[in-house]
Amino acid sequence: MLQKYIFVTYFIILSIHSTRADTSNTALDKSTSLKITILEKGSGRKLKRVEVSLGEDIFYSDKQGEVLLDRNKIKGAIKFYRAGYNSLSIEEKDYQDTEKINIFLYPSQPGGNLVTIFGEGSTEVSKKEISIEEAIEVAPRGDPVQIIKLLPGVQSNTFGPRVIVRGSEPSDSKYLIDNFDLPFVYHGVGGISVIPPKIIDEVDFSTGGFSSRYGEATGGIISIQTKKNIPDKASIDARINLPLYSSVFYEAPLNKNSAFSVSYRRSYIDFFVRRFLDEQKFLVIPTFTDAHLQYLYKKDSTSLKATTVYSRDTLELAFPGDGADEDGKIEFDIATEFFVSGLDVEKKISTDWKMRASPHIINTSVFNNFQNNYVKIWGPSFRTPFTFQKRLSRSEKIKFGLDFQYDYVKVDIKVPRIRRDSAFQDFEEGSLEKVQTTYEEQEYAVWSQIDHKIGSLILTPGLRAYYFSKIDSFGIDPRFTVVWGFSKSTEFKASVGKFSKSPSPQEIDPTFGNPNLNFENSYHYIGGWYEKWSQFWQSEVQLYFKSNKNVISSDKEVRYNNSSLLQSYGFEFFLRRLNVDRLFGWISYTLSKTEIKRGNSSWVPTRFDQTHVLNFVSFYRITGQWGLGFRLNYRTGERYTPIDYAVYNANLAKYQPRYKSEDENSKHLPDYNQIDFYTTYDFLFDNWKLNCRLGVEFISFTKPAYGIKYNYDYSKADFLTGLPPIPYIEIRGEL
Amino acid sequence: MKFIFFFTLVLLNFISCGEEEERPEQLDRLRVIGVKTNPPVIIFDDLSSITDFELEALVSVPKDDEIIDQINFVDDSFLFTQTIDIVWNEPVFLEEFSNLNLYLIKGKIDLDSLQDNQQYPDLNNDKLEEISSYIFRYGLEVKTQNDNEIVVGNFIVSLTENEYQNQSFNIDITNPIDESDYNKEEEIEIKMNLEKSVEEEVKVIWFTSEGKIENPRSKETLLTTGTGEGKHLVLVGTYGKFGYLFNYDFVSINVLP
Repeated sequence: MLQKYIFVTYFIILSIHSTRADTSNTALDKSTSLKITILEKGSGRKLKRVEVSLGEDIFYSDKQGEVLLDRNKIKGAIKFYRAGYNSLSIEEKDYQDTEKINIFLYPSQPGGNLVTIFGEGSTEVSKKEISIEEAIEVAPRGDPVQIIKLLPGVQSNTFGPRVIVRGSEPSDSKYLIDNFDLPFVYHGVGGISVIPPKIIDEVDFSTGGFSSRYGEATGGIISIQTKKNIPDKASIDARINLPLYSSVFYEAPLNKNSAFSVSYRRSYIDFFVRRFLDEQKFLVIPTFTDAHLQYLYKKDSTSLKATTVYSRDTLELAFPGDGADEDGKIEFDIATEFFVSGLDVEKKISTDWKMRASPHIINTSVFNNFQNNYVKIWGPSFRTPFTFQKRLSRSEKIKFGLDFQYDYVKVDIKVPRIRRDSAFQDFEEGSLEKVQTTYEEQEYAVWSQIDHKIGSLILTPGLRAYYFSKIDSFGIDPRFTVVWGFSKSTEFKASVGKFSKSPSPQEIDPTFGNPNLNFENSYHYIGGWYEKWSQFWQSEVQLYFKSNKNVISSDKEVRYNNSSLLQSYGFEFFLRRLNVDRLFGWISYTLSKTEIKRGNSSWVPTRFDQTHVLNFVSFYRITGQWGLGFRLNYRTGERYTPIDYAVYNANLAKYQPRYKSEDENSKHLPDYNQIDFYTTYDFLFDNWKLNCRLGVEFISFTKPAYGIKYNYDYSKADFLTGLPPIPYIEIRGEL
Repeated sequence: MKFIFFFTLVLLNFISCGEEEERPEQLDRLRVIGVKTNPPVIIFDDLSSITDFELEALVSVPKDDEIIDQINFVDDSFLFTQTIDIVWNEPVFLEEFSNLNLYLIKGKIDLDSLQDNQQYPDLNNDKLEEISSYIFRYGLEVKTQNDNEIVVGNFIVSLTENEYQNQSFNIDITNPIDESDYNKEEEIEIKMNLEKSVEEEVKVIWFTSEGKIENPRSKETLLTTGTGEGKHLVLVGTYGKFGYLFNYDFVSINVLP
């Protein structure tokens, strides 16, 4: 409240002084005046509302960052002050012989757009806000989308590019950009997100109990929102990251209502790899590329974004191994590519009505060749989500929407048929299947949700109904959230709901799967306590229980059936120091258990079961240009299934492990810890800046284990360790 | 995408294997090298006329050890394929080397049991590519005084004429020449000739009683002889991926003192 009072008072004073300054400015003759233009050092951006002190007189810069002063009244030093910038003073000798002067102020605290991280429940009530500057400072490699990996409720795995939310399979979560579906958000190399950081405005992240607006997900929702505002001026951002990638980003206003942006990024690990590896012995060449093009229009109550995002990951791999052909090598050539293109239109129809439509097309292709096998899957999906919102009264708001999706996928594969969920399935041993087919599906969904405020309670009941043509099945998912604002600094939240997901095309394919499968259902039960302790500190505690039914898995008799159960439960703690001072960051801790019960067998841990996950993230701003960052990740080692004994397969000339079903994921690797240190420095020039980010990743107290390796006949086991501390440097020029 | 990380792990695993790691091509413990089926494929309609269907396992045993038992093994962990019982005979001595002996262990299948329809699983689960065939799994456990080894494999009962029927791979080692002399830790080029009477994906694996082979899975590679003297074995096996055809050839080399 105090902050709000100060803020309002500040603006009242500001407007009075601005009026005074403007009035005096217009009366001045230019030949007897001094025109001062105040700009931001490093970007050349004109700064309005800068306080200019001349003795006891105070003036404020206008929208053009200009102040016009009467030369006859100027005597002595002129001081410049604006919150977020270092104060500056100029002496009489600096301006006495000139009519115009440019003043550059050095930033003391970064400002900027907000990355919004949502928790459970009503999105407006339980959201956490992290500025995009903060996200860029603390996230791995300065990539705001990767900040999700540092939050509670997220299990980590060192090499996995996707997000594991509360024990769910990565494919159980949904990834969106401006309401458009994304097949994935992270590249295979370095976990870099496929979206350039410069276009990101918000990242909405829900770990469960999410809105009825979202279907086809039982894990979490990761939704990226791109910037909504027209930029003031054209800018270019070029970045060189060693050893990973280089990128270039450009945005420019077309007029006061529209703008466009474009970017391109490519990794160059392949160049290093070719230099350092002996290609005759083994070869591994990963690459990634991404690009985007966006047109933004904003006028009055309408905003429109036309966005195209492209991403491509490849891996070329050849090495001598068990599956080698007569030339003694196993060869893989893998390419995954997608582009998403669509329109996202938001319109305020009237005072009470709003609508959003986001029709888009996603074209995905997966081309994998390994030895004499191949997988070619490609085709478009078309999706049209519509959302309507009406304010019914001061305390009641209804949202509802329609969702239609049409998928057309071509499949041309020659692969061994294996069980996806078997720990030791040997792809060399599956019977070889050759299939050429097309896959077509329509999905229809309607949903509704009401936010109803009663005193300090906000009740949000919701319902989602859906139909999938491929399995010819309907479903209804009811959801309910309640938020109780106990006091201005304390909130309690609870949520319960049903969430469903249809089987994947592979699972219902007549050759590779079971056409009789039905939806997987997940029931979420969540309770939480949010507390804002001071302007610096806030905390959140959550308890959750997730019960999944009709989980798809295989047994000896039937490949893929709905007979398994999965449950995950845990405790999450989030303590955060806000970005209002030199030091900010957080501690997040998750204690959880995730188990699966296949048919009539007993409960066993899943491969994503991770008892403890602790993240400590901090950034200290030494000056406005120089900062130091630190991240620590500690987690329980990943699960694995111990081997009972091994047999020699005389057909394949190799040993194969055998295990007991009751031992599935019964052991885990040694606990993992990782420390990352880095520093950032901005070299500021008048109209552009050079940002350097220098750091070392993968420092650890003990040698981290990433997996388990066996000798050729599985009689000896050892932990797969490696990855020494990796130094990196990123240089970014912003004009 | 998952593939990328999986194979990165595989690669890391591979890179982390140092020179001093155990080498699978070294026959320094009880090993079953391969199993031949004769005939390679059984045609279902011929079952009543076939009098003999035989399996032949090639076994290497260290000099200071000896086989004490060979029994049937049921591989019930293997999914979607039927297992079948085999009667395994006493081992037959094949050849002696300075630090190992080669043996053959032969087994016979009860053909009457193959005619029992109950043995045949769902065809949809077990057909080969464009062939209507059943796959049966056999198993053998070999026990020596100090060690034991379990070997499993498949053979085909085809409902129709089969491309692997009456086929085999002709292989011979072209270098080194049998019984040629070499020094200790000498690098030798080893080569083999492979003639396939049927189009098939074939794995090639080199074995040796002592020494290191640069790439044991390549038709042409390098052998560095060991530090021990005497009669050493150089053996190559070929393994057909879909027809399960196995063949082998071996030579001996003399490593001089």
